Amino acid sequence: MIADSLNVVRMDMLKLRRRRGLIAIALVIALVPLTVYFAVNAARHGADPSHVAPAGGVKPFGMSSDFLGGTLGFVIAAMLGVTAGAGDAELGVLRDLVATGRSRVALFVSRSVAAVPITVGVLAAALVLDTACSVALAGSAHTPSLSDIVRRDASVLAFGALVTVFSAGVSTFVRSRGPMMVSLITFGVLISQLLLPATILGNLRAVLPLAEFERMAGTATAGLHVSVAVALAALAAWAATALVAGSWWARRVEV
Amino acid sequence: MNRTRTDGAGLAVKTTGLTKEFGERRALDGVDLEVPRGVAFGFLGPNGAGKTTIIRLLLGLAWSTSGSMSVLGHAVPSDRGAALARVGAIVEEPRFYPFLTGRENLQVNAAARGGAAASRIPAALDRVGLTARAEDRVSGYSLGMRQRLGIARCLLSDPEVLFLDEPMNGLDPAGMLELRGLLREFVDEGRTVFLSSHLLDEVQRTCDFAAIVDRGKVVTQGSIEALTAGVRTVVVRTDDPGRAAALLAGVDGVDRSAVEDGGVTVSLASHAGTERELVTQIVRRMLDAGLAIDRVTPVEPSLEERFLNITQRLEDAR
Repeated sequence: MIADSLNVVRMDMLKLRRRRGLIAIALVIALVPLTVYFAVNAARHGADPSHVAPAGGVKPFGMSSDFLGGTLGFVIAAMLGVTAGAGDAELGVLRDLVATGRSRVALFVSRSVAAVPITVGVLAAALVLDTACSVALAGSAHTPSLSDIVRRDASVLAFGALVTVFSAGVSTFVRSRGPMMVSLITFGVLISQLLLPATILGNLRAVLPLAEFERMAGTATAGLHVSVAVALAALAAWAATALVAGSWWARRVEV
Repeated sequence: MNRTRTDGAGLAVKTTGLTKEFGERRALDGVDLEVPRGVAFGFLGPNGAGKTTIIRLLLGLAWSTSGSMSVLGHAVPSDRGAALARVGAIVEEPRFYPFLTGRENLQVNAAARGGAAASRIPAALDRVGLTARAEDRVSGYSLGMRQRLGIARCLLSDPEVLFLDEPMNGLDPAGMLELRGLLREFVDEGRTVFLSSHLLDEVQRTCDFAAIVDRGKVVTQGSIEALTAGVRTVVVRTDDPGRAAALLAGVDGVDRSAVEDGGVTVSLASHAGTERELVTQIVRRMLDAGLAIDRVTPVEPSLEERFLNITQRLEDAR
């Protein structure tokens, strides 16, 4: 039974991995901005070392990992999660899977879970680049401590995983990936970025995934006072709500 | 495992009063259907008659508004898992992941089925003649190859019942012939083939039993032999087919008359006298009306005639 379920997850991962265009775009989004960021800063430091700080070190690492987790990571997780959640329905193959007699909920959970290792893999590649550049290009600046690296990298991966599950869950409600991807990215990146500095909202902003990520990563958000545990719980609640709603819909939708 | 056995245990498929509504529209209207095991069963009807809808209900892809149904004696949807364990299906056109190979597509489906399904992949590919192309991406497959891959996917469950929804669509004559042979092989192996089609000739050639569905209702069902037994048709060649068709439409004992291929195809009512009496009456009426007759030719009984007779009668009754 467990072996059968794992085999379904393995096949769901295969379906994502074989979408070579999607994976290539995810890798480009993950790696190219970081590469450009470090390359430009390294060039500027090289040209004027007395006035421009080194490209690596603690501060650039914080900025790049924040950007990787909160923006690039969200986009990547949304892309992969939505594809996992709505890809079968969009291609018209969901009905063939349902017609096997396998539980609709089991199929839903499997495809939601299968996207997580793919997201984590892409983000891990970016984190390796980010960490390596931050250390190698630190020059005279302090290199990030091991605990800082672990905390920020773990935050990026956990955030990516939970956003992936959330995206897969809500995508069960649609039969086309495009509009859902655009909606999620608009909410998670643009609207969250606009709302996060609005101190008038106080701790209400803790419901924003971006705020939760920043709290987990240890980045201060003005006027927001919630614990890491609360941030993590809020993020997990997003994912759990999407999973429950997605399971309910998967059980009743006509395919 | 405790499984729900219904009174349709001896049948491949049984539906009772099956109704499906989409808003105001009633796609299926109290369908009672009994499909024996080990036969090719044609589910025949024009486009939009409800053929795909009933297959979707039987596979648990959609929910009925009322009525009950069972597949291989297991109630659907309450015992869907057991009902579909030995079922293969192609609904509408076969769909695949275009970026996966043929074999990988089968592996995905086999994983969902679990058990021994994966071990059947090589034999299934071999059976439909796709072994040599199994490692190619499906995006490069022709429609015929996709149909065959769809059949291979059905075989992963070692099916007792195959639901095939318009499987001949898009196939060239050679492909149709090949598929027809394959379907008959399945029946010879003791499997039940439930074939939905709007191609009357195809159903008559392939199937042993059929049900005719029109506007969501099963209007008749039985063996092909029984369904065509009452069909008596003659073709009359005359100098004015249009006038002849109109004239004969009003003759007692004529179910239907229509101009086809330059002649008048006349369907004789099964209940109204012998063929000789009816043909004599037709000829007499035409001669009385001043029409010249070249010849009168009897036509082999066909499901098409039966279908047209039934649907024409329903149309007249509305």
